[in-house]
Amino acid sequence: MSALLELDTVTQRFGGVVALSKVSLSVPEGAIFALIGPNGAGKTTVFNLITGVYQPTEGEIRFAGSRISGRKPHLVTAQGVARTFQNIRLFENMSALENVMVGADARHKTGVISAALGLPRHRREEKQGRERGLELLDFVGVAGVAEETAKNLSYGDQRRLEIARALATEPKLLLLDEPAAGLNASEKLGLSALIRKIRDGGRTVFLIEHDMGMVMQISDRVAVLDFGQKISEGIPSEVQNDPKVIAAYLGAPADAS
Amino acid sequence: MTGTFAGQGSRFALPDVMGRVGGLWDKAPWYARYLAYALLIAFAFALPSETIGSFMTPQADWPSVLFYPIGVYVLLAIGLNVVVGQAGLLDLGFVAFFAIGAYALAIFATNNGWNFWEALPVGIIIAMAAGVILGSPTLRLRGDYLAIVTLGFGEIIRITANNLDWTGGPRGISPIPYPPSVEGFEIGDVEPLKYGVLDARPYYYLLLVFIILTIILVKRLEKSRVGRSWAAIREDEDAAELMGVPTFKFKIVAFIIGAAIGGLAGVVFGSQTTSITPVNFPFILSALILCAVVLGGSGNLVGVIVGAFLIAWLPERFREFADYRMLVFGAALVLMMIVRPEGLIPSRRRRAELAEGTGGLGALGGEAGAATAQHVHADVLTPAGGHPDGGHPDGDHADGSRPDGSRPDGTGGATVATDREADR
Ligand SMILES: Nc1ncnc2c1ncn2[C@@H]1O[C@H](COP(=O)(O)OP(=O)(O)O)[C@@H](O)[C@H]1O
Ligand SMILES: [Mg+2]
Repeated sequence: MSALLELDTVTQRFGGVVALSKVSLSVPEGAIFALIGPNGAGKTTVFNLITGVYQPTEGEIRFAGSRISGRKPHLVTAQGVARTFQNIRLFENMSALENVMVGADARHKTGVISAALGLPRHRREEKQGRERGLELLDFVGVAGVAEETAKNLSYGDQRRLEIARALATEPKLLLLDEPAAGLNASEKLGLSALIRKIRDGGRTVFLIEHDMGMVMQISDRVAVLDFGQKISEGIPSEVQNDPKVIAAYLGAPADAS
Repeated sequence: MTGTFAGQGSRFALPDVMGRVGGLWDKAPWYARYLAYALLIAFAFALPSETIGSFMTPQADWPSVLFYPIGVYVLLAIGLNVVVGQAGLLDLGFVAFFAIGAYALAIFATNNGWNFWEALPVGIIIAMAAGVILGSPTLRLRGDYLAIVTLGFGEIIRITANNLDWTGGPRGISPIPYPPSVEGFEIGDVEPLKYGVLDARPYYYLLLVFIILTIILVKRLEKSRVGRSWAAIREDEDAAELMGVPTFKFKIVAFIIGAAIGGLAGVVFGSQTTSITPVNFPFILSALILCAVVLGGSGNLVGVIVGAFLIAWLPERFREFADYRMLVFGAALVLMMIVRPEGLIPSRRRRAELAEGTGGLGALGGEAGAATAQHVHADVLTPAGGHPDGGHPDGDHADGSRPDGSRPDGTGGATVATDREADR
């Protein structure tokens, strides 16, 4: 398996805070790759760097062989990277379907002029966007609430809707930031199945997750961050037994700043 | 959240009526809607009648009032609504584009001998270019800055016109020629294509046609990916960008379309007035149009048109109080913000945004809503509850919660001392 995404000795500083220090990661194509680590380890920062929210202080990020660090977020999305957020960030007052259609628009070619003139090409894309949106709502299991305002959806459905919206941009790489946070046990099982289904559909999944049961079960590979440094990486069973990882999680109380 | 005092309780009975009308409208078959459109347009063309006029403006020439201020304000409000209501960008200098359109006509007509139809596209294009020049540096800024810069721009255009020779300085430009007439074309007692001094009706019809075309354009955009992108930007600009929306481009587009409509209004206005001076384009006009948009219900076209109509018509109808109109509108705005912040006839989405306190002006107030969802489940697993979200994507490091207490060994269990953020 070749690497779809590579972080090459990436360092990220925020003023005095070193959020990431010389982190290198390589996410193989077609895998479910998990990134774990205590709160504040720098996991979300990794996603923000990949998606172009921040520019790395040092180092480089490559996606499908070409450098993406330094590009604007919407261009990174156009390259085939999509994400969800640790704290759900839907377009709350738009319907579930409209949320997904915004994602689908990322692949649409007609713009302002064809919309203004109501050109057939534009109408076809609108129709396709709507159909694709409904399809994806069904795929993640929230088809029943397509016309519902996003903020009125249950918490679990909102998480699923975020995944549908990200999928609508047709990503090669899907970044999920703690998708299981706040879900109950059965919802987590459903989510695991969904993530597998996404991977089996040919997409690569990069997962940040705190639920170790889930991570160990579905991931092909796991990397561990602690204080902005990668302390371990490997297949789940290796990482699970790595003394450094256990130490990081059991925590030397000294580092509780 | 904030705004609850306005969001609940004391409301007029109006929203239910409007909701029901909206529901009927959505369910109506296409031919019923087209019939309604046709009737509305017929009504608009019949508006300048004397019977209606004797009631609407007993002290003034009704067709003239229908053209200006009513028609012009309506067109301006439709344009500003694209910027403020749809894209959520607070523009306090919209009058600049109106002035640019009017001056373009006046200058090209008097200096170059162009007629109305030649100056029209050029006036619109110049206004759009001004939109690009103003927008490209400022639309990278957020809310408040944009408001200040646009406010300055409106004043700069007016003051420049006041001080340049080729704009006529404070005396302005006159006479501006009328649009070319088509003689001998009569419907009843009107010659709708004969543009002269006496009859304001042909100008009103001309303006009406432009208003209808503009409404069609704006409606189409609203229902397309363009409108969806604007709505997404208004709700959460960062998330929109990350979902592939070229946010800067679509903000500029909103600005340019608004500018084009403002410029169009200016050209049409200039064609009737015969003379323009800088005092035609004061800041207060920007404020009034914004007032119309907000009062009427930002984002909802019908509401915005009604708002503009009221703002333009009331002072004409009640001339004895015209001196107090700013006071009255000011008071009306304050009152509206208290009892009905979503405007007279709000868009459904906008009503929801306001009810939850994300503010009426998109980018200005849009940052507050992101964390609400987290509260829903806070009691299930998360030890700490909600956390106000900072402005940047995933402001999660501001929170002290740990979504799940499970450990690497997969046993779950209480959070150990790894929660370094807890005391941030
Ligand atoms: N925009 C920012 N400004 C300042 N500090 C930040 C910013 N983003 C993240 N950080 C800091 O970087 C560190 C890692 O944060 P984050 O990536 O959110 O951790 P995780 O997702 O692993 O919990 C934290 O100390 C956090 O406070
Ligand atoms: Mg995080």
